[in-house]
Amino acid sequence: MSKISINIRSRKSSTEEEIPIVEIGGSLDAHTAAQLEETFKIFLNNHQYKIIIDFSLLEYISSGGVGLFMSIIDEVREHSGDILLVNLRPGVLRVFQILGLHKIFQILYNEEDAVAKLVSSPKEVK
Amino acid sequence: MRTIKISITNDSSYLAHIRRFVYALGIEEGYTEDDISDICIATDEALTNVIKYAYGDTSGDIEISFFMEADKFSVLIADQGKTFNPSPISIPDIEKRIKQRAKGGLGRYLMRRVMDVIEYKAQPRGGNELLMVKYL
Repeated sequence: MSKISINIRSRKSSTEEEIPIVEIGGSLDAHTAAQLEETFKIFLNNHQYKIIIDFSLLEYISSGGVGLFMSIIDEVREHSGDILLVNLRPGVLRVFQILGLHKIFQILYNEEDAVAKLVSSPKEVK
Repeated sequence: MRTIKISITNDSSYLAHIRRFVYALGIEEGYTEDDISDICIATDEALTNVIKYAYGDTSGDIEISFFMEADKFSVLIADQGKTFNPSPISIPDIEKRIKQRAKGGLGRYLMRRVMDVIEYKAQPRGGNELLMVKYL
C-alpha cells in the first residue's frame, strides 16, 4: 500500500525565529496526498508561511504530489513567506524539473542554508 | 515478446503495488533505472486518472497489460468507466495554475514527457483503452 510519513520538527534561525521543517518520506501519490494537504492546511490556518520541506526520505512523487506544493505557494508568498525544498532525491527532482517547477521553487541541499534564506526574505506584511 | 496482465479494482492504495511491480519487471528485463522510473511514472499517472475520473465514486476493474520487447516496453490500460475524450496535451501554463491555486491537471503532460507514444481509444461498448509505449 502507498504510505507517506510526515514528521514535523523545527530549527531556530540566527534571528531566533522557529522555522518548521516537514520531513516527508515514502510515497506522495494520489493515495497519500490528502495527508500532506491536511498538514499544509494546519500551517496556513496558523499563519505559518515560512516552511522547509525535507525530501530526504521521499522515494516517489506523482504530478498530484507536486501539484500540492503548486496549490499553496501563491498564498504563502502573498504573506511574504516561502516554501523551500531540501534534499530531493534524483527521481523526485526530475518530476519537478519535467513540470518546470524547479524554476518556481528554491531547491537546496543544505538545511542550514534554507533556514538562512527563509529568514532573510522580506518580513510578513501585517 | 513477453506479456503480463494484471487486474486491480479502482483503489488508489494499489498504486504503490503497481509501481513496485513495474520496477521489478524492468529490473528483470535489464532496463536502465531512468527507463524504469519513466514507465513507473506514466503507469502511476494513467491509473490515477482512471481511478479519479473514469470511475470516480463508482467501483470497477482496471486491466493492465505489459508487453516487453527487446526495443520497446508497452503498457495497455483498459477500464469500463466513463468515456474519456482526450484533448491535445499542451505544455501547462504553470504561472497561471499557481495563480489559480490549482492542484491537478499535470498528469497527462507528465505521461507525454516520459513516454514516446500515448494513444487513447474509447471502447465501442463503453470504457477506455490507453496505450503507452517507451522505446528503449
